[in-house]
Amino acid sequence: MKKLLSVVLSIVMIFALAACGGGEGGNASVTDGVSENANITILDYAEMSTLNPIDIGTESDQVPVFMLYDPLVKLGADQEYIWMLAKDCDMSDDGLEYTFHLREGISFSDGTPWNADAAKANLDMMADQSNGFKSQFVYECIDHVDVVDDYTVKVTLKYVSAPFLNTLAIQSAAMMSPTLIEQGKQAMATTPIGTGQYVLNERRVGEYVKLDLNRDWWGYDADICGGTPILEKDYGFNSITIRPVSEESTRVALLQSGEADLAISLTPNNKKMLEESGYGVVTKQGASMSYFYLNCQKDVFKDIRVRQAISMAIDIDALNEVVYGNEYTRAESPLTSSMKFFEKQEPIEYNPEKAKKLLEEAGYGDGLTLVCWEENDTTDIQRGEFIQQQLEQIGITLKIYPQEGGFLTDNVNAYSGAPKDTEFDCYIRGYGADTIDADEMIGRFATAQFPPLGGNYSFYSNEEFDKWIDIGGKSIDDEVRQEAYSKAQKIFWDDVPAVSLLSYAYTAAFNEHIDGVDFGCAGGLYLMNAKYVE
Amino acid sequence: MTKYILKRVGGIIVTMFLVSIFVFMIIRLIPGEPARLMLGDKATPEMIETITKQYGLDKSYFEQYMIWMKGVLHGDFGNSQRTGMPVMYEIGLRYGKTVRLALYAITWSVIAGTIIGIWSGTRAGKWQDYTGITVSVLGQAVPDFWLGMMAIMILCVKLHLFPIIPDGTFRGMVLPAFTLGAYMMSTVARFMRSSVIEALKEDYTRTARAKGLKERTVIYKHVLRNSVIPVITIIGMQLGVMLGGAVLVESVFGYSGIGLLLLDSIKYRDYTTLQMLILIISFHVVAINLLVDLLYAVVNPEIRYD
Amino acid sequence: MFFKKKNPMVTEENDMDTRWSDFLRNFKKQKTAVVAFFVLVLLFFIAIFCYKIAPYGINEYNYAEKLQGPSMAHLFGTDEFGRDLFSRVLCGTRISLSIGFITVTIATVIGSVIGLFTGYYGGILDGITMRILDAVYAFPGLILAIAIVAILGPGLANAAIAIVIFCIPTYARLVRSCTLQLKNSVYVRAAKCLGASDLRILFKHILPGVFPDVIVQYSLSVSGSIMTTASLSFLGMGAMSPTPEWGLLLSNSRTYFYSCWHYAVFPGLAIVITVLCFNLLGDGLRMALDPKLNDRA
Repeated sequence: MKKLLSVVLSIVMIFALAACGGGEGGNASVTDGVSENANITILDYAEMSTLNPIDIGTESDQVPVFMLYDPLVKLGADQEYIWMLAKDCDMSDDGLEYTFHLREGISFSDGTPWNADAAKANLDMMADQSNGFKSQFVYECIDHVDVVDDYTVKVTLKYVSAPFLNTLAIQSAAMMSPTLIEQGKQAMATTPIGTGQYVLNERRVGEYVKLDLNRDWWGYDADICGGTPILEKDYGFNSITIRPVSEESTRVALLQSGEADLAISLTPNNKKMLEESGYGVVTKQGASMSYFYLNCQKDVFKDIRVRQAISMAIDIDALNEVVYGNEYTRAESPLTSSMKFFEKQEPIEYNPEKAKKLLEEAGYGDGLTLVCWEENDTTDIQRGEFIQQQLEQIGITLKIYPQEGGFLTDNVNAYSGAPKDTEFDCYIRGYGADTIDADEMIGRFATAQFPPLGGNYSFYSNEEFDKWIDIGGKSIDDEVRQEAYSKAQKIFWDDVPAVSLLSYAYTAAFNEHIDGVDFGCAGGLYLMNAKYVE
Repeated sequence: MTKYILKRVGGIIVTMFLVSIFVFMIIRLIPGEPARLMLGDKATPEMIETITKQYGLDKSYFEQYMIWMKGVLHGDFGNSQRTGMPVMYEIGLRYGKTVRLALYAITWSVIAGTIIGIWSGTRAGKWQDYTGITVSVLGQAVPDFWLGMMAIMILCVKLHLFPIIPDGTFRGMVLPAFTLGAYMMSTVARFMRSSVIEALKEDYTRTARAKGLKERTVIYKHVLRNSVIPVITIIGMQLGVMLGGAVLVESVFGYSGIGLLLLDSIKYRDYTTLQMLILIISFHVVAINLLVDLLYAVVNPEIRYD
Repeated sequence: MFFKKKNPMVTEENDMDTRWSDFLRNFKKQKTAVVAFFVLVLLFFIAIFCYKIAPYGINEYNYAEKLQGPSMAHLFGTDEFGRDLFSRVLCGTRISLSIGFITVTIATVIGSVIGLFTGYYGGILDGITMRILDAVYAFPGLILAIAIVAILGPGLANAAIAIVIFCIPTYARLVRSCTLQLKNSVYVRAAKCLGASDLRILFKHILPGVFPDVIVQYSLSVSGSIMTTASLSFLGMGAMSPTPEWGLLLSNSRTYFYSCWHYAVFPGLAIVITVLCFNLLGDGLRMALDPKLNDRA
């Protein structure tokens, strides 16, 4: 079993490398490497708060992580595994033990060698929940880490966690130098020491972070990489400057004036304008989706007809057009289409007439008033308003209360009262699955995940659904998982505990000097396969 | 005199004490469990507990206040909840920038305000006067953020005269400082205009003129000399307005001073930084007002100190 | 323009009627202020009838016509949802004016009462209140408002509360200092000897004397309040979409700033005109009430 898996993974990896190599014959075409002129400036929409990978909280924090650091394994643009600091991984049949074989001959930028001790230091820190780092909750499943030999570590889990390998492929699993970990939190936040393709040149808070190419990066070295280098020598940039520019219009202007080469987070109007004037543009679906949660423990929503009526009354395509300029994608399942195990469901027909009828049958022919909470962000409010207008057509009065994020965290995420007593009947909010795994995205609708324990904001409880979620989450066999999530998606779709609205898209625009810009599956900028064009 | 100074300084201490309580309460009144706010939606109970302990959030408000105040008095402002770095460091990185911006703004506005004021005061009723009045009245009515936007639109984008984002050079500072100083320029101009008009009516001006002195000399000698203290008072009084304006101007220009940090700390719920920023800003206002008052007392010893 | 005339504020047996006619006569001489006054009257009518005169609904989406420049169909152009900007700016008048008046009126009443009582009675109450107000005063207006909005959460109502709170000390101080002066006037002392109650003295004799100063400050505060509301909305802490508040319109326009000049220009002009008129009116009122000031300011 585990051998089969590693064979599959290696084949996938080879394909990935062939793809990024841009041609066959890997090391035959060695060039001089990256030109001295290959300096680019990237515009992000917010300032990064920390350079500590395990403490990242926002998308902006993610941007430099995989430039400075490498993880054990990475997810490629199509969710294939790319082995980085580990050569491969063996899993025990019970799915509790992961043995990683590490690459040899790599060292951190401070000279500390990369070995099993270094890996253990990182994994231990990630597992120790008392550190209070923002992103470490996903490693809560790690029980202990053993050093088997100099280049082998074994991770033992508390329970089977299907997405475990995925969690090791995200930014928060970047491997830091053990000396850096010893120096403590402040050093980790400011002076990154990793094995990455770039090293920190300078960070000026509020202005920029400048990274320089590490020309001796192990990923260029065919020997360390076992024959084929991770990247050819001409990939990458001599230096990358990341500037936070919160105003979108300023990002556009800087791109146009040539002061920057790449800008992320653009609205449809600006994206179109840039595309028309010859800029390269990338749009990619991420792993986030917005939902219209219906509290299934409320009497009114115990009747499935009411839930169905609501799902039929919302014209999601129109929502996409009016509020998001058709930039997002209509949900075809509770999972985003970029996720593994995604299965397209029968689209719910927009039919206010039928919805009205269903409501009448359920005994709400004379109208119905519902309380709805949402976050008070501008586009969120527009979204809420749109849904409000739509539901009005079938006689539902939606009373929307846009709330402060902190208030929602307290009263929804941390709600500990009786599920049927929530002040809200419905709740509109987006959810992003950091691990890009079905277990995180749909598994949170299980009964065990009622707030405050998890993200089941619909308080949905269905034994059949729970069963499949349990099977899916506790298995490491893709076939089993495929079946489980296929069933779970179907049940969810028919039962409508929440209306899946739109999955988010990430956008970037760049000038003619950059080639190969992409986004990772979770939405972060993915520049690994990018290079400079004179 | 010494008694007056002591009394004023004592008053400041009481005021700052009240301010610190306000600031402290403001932060505690913000809805939401602080630890959970910091860690985000997906935090586990264990992580929340750690953070709660680490920041002493489980103690009573009184204890928390005492710990905070003790830290502040010892120069330890705590760590930013957003970046984990000492607040002192975070603020220190940006403080100088805002001071620089404010100094540029004050400098140009006082110089320009004085020139415009004298110009229109000495030509009262003529077109020059009306131009001056219009400029100064408009300066007080135009929102600084809008002025900044218009300046960027015309001068940066259309004419390419200045960089879009202040890049640390003098050229980059021109527009933010211009925008921030517009209001103070108007105030100074209006004041100078009325001083000049008044001075021209006074007896000594007539006498001086009779003696054959040029009007210009008279104005420079008397008006300017007498205006130094009132103008300093205006600067002191307007400093608060300017600090508020700095938030807007820094936001418009993407200038990373403490104004932008204030907005960021609200956006990312970084309350340690937020409370320290508000405390520091109000301390500046109070301290500058005190300085102005003391200066006044030194220059005009005849005023009664009661 | 120099009047050797008694200051009408001084409370001797000054007939209310002559004071009023003096005031009117003086005010009429302030030509700019009179013009400003009429522009404000016009703005009031717009605020009242804005929904009737607006050619389009404020939330009339028209996706086919988004971000268009000014034309005959859309005088001010359209926004990112194809809504008519002219209608939105027009209807924004009601929001800005009502916020301006409501906040300042509440602040004036509260502030005046505080000022009257502390000024009249003095003592410990006065000391404590003034210290607290000093502390509030130590926060620059906008920053105090930002802090309050951070507690209460963004929204127009919360922005209004914040503005009320930071306006109160201004009035309390102003009224207190006037009360202190008037308290010792012959007029009040006479009333006291005649056995008038404290409340009667405060509201019958002192308040009218304080009134002119409050009126001047009122006009200036309204413009300040409108400006602060717009600033808060601009920072995303005031009005929320889709309210057509001017500051929020400006904030939304920033995204399309470089391609659509009209979106940022018109809401800004609306703020400038309104604030300008209130400022000019305030100046005019001050000069009408105190003609000695005529050539100052």
